[in-house]
Amino acid sequence: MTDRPDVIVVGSGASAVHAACPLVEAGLRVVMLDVGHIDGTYAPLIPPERFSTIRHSDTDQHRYFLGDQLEGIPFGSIRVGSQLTPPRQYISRDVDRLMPLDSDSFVPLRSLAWGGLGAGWGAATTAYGPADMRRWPIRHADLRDHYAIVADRIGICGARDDLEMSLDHTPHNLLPPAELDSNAESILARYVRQRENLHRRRFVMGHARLAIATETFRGRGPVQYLDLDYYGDTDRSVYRPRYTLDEFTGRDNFSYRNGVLVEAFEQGDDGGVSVLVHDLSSGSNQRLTATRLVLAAGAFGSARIALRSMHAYDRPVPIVSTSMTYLSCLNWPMIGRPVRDRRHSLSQLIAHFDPDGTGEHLIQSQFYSYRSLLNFKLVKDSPLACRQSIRIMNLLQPYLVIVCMLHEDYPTASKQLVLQRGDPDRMRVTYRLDEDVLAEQRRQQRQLVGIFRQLGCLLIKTIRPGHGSSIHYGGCLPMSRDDRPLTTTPAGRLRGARGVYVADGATFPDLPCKGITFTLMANANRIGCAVRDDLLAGGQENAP
Amino acid sequence: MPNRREQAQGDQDLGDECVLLCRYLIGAAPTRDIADRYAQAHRRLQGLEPDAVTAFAFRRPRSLPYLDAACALRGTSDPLRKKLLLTTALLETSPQHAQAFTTEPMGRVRYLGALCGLTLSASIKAAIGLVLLEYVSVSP
Repeated sequence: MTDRPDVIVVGSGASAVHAACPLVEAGLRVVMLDVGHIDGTYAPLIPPERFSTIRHSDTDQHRYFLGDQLEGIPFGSIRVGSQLTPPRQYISRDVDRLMPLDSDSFVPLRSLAWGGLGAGWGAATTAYGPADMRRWPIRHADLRDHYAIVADRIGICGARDDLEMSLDHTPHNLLPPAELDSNAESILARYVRQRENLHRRRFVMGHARLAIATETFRGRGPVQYLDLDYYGDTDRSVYRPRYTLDEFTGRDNFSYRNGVLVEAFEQGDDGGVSVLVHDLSSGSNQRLTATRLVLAAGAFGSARIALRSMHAYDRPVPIVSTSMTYLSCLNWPMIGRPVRDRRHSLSQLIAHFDPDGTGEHLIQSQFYSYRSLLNFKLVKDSPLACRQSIRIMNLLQPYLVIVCMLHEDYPTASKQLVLQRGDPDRMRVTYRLDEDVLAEQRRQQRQLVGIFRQLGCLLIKTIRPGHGSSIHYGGCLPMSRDDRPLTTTPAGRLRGARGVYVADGATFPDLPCKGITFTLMANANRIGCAVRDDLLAGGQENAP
Repeated sequence: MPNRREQAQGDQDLGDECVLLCRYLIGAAPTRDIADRYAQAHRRLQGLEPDAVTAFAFRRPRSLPYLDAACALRGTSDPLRKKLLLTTALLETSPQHAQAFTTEPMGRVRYLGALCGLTLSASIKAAIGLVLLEYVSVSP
């Protein structure tokens, strides 16, 4: 591509690639700019064998399980990024150096990797419903087709089960459900036996809808159930944004450039957008121009670029983040029964609980079994001596269920992001939940724990890893119908900047307690379509 | 910078430490690889420098279970616990010792008995260990 591109897309994560898709497919010339870290160390070491086999055979396993610098041993407390195993830690490499963020209450996991945070995505795909978007300036119907398009691209497996009662979107080409592991199978069987009673308590459960290729799908899969999903993508069954980028390979109208950090944009003289790019290897700066710019560098990455470019230093913008609570439970009725080795490591079941019966505050819980993260991490947090803890964890681990519970979030005055001038500029986040919100979360948690007990899962420990750790955050440049600065239009256009769109979680005005990634992709596709239509119509939508 | 002889002596001491900790944790001596990795980890990681409790435990190995239990109960992240966590991680990721980190399915009664027995044993050790820890911290 020698001519000026039509669109520059910043980032390569879930939002960026799905914003780029409609543009590339329409034949527009697209350049994707990215830092694009990859893992060249550990991925080649992981053999394509089952976790249980590796444990007893591979003498190099300590390298990818613990890391060459032993970065996989959590000597400190549970923190943001604790869930990243050594082969996945490249995902957050250099973030603090290149995009410093200060906060005493909010530590988000961010990424400059190829594929962004999507490179470690847990693959749960729950679409937002109309109630989830009741405060948004777009309707659920505006996203419906885009959910379907993204589902066709990424491949979603699942069952047509009770979960449909609380879901507003089921892909027409749902892949067969992933096999459940022994723990999940027993919990689901208990749920089915008590279904009517649990429905009266406004609780439904079903197979997790996951972006896993359970059969061959667009050159991926089928899933081999190796239980190594936290370490690598050996069987290419779990969707990663880079697979979509791979599909662009060979297209003349798309190019991907890594090793660059986008610093700012400014309006070009000819109606285009000029982007200031910092080359990380040479240290030099460069300007690139395009007709349109799509910011999809993650909520913080996009906010940093937008605030810098609009000289909005020291001006607070909102921030929202779904809080996360891990409930470690013992699947008591399973004790004594053998568990199968053949399993995947990701979410097995998803449950929805409607605490007030309005459907407006639906709480999503995801059920995982604990195994491939190894027992020494459990030993570390045990209040008992290591020798006894090892034996106790050996007993507990096959029947240990980790329930991940999300809590919705709305913007308030006590949750703000500010960009401060510096070299480099620094973001400062203030994030505090009101006491009544925390009390409500605890109340809902108690209700859920009661239901889990009914399902045979006895609570052992509650872990709240801190604000930002859910990785589900955004809202810094929220889409709004009001013409306010530092907001985006419902079509994703950044107000006050001509030809600049935002396609990631920065535009989400609030966050329901569901996973964000599927909606990020659908919304990015919607915004990509808006940019495409704008360009094909001759740019009429972009009055400053 | 330690000279070669000092480093060799240091590695020997760390090797002895590793053997002691492995015998305590799983009742077996470590492979040479694990002892080497244990020594390398001490050169790479901070926070493993011996303190009074660690020195006492290595001088009197029979005190190790009690001090470990007491430190665990206190929930502190002191060098002894860090060394134990490191050794546990190294053992668990070694094929030769992987078996020590699995359990065959057993009936509920036996399972409950094992859980209670282990918890009781750890609790008794913690009670004794807390007194011992107090003694170690005040002794010169």
